Amino acid sequence: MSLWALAATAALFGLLGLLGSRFASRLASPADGALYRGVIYTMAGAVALHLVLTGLDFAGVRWSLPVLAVCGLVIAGIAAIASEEGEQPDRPSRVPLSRGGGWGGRERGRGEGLGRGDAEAKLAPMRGEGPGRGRLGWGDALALFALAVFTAFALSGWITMPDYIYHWGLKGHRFYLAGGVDYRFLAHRWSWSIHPDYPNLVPEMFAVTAFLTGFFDMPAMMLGTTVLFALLVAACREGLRQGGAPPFVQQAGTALVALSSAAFGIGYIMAGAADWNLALALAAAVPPLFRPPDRAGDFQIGVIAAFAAASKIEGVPLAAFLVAVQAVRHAWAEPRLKLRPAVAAGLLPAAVVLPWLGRAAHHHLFQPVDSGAFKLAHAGEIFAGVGEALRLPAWHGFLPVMLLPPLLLVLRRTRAFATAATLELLFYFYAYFTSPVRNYRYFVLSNFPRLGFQLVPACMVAVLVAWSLKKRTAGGDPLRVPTGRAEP
Amino acid sequence: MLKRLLLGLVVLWSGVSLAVEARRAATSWDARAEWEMRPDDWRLGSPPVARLESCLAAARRLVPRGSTVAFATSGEPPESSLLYTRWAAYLMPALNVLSYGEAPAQYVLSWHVPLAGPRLVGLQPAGHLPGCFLYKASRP
Repeated sequence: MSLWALAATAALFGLLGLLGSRFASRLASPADGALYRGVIYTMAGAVALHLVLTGLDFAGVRWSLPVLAVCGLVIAGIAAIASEEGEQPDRPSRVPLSRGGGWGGRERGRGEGLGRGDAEAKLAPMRGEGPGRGRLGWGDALALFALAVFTAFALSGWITMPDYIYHWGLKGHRFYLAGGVDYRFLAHRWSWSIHPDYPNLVPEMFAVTAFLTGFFDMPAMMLGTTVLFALLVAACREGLRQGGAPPFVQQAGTALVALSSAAFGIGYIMAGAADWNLALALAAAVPPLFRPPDRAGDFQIGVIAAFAAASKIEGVPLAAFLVAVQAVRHAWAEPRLKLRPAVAAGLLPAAVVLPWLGRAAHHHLFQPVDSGAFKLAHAGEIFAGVGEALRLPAWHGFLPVMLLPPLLLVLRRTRAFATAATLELLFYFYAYFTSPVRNYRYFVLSNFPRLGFQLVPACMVAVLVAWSLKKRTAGGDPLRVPTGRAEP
Repeated sequence: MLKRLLLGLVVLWSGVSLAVEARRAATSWDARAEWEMRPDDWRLGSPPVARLESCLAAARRLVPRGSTVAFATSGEPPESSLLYTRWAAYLMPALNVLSYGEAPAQYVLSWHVPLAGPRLVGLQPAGHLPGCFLYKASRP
């Protein structure tokens, strides 16, 4: 294990956060805490890196540190110019949100997006009681402990996921050696088993880490998973806070997400897996989906959707669902249809997905096993596999939480998130019913537990918020926003 | 109060889950010298991977970068053979590693067992490496 390589990983994520923070004027909502801002900035930096690397590939420029440094400076410059044209980011508020959010926030007044200029005033009636965001509680301490335990095992390589060996890590190393996405390698007919058609953000991050280090170091790549885990916990913590969960539930929820994720990550050997990216994406989408739709939320959803789409193939439908949900929320909340929110949320994901589709089609990377006819006849085998997966020991009974989003559709606060999560869940089953494989039970068993991991942390947050919502609503209904008119 | 208690118990359960998994992982890590598993259960640092690494380290010195290497595993079922190949590919990223018989290759690495009979046609022995045999194709 090389300390230099570990430092390079930390530096990479730090630089991505710094790069993303250049877009603070667009990405920061006054409702967001500092930790969550760090999450969004890092994801934005990762998306910017992915777009730069994609652009370099198109231009035929070999990846190298000097080239990446120049591109980073150019992006920071563009962001600075864009910031001058836009408004300054709002100061983070000191108390959590406890009202509003949900599907559209129509009851808050038509067309009342949370613009930044008067955002503080508009958000004021939405805030409730709770600890200041800077305070660390017992749940945070437990989360840090869980993170430390996971990190110790991850750095050893003992809980490295087989898929890191079979394709993610191999691709990362190949891209590092080739100085770009190695399409010749991906297009070999014997490369079918390494999912050559998958989006490339994960191996790109490995390759850039190796560029910073000067060599490809496995523990450094595993540390990347630890950072994603930390970002995931931070996003869940913010989701609980912006969802208006009481302080005890916030702390308990933070601890629950961290402890259960660490247990599953160790037990199911998940270090180096790309599923952390999607778990992070869905968790990071919780705060903007809990708030009434606003401009910062549109950009946040755009970054989160782009991050998901760049990470993994099932991230592409997740991106589409997140953007669609945000656009429909605007349409629901506002008297006139506006194109701008949909563009704000959809532009970045489109910038990620279209080049990926183009390159994969150009190099004939899509595989025949990617899709087939929808066959209901496999339902028995598929649901047998799901039933077995739900009892997987490494999940310790937490996996069924992934099936709860349809129930969360009934509550306004959680409806937007639940819609996106339910659609993603349905997509998983669509993929099972259309995949031409020999043994469906084995197929489901081999991936359902980790697909569930993409949903479980965020679903835990939504469930806890819904739970708190019911409790507090019963006691004088402090959660309902005073509108002075009857609600639908 | 009841809800707090319930939530506290769930958090406690997640903590117990982590303790169980951490203990299991630590125990297997301590006993990793005996981790003799099938390829689908191989872990970094386990003896089968170490043996494969020593074969491949020797092969890397003899095979030029960018070459195509077919990995042969006699007597293994196809699923296992594919996993051997995937591990070999991860451990030799500068080479193009494929399963034996998938496509013509410039080199063939045979795991444990030397190639014989018709499989030797068009191949020349290039070295007996730790745990494996290297062949060079006369006409790739």
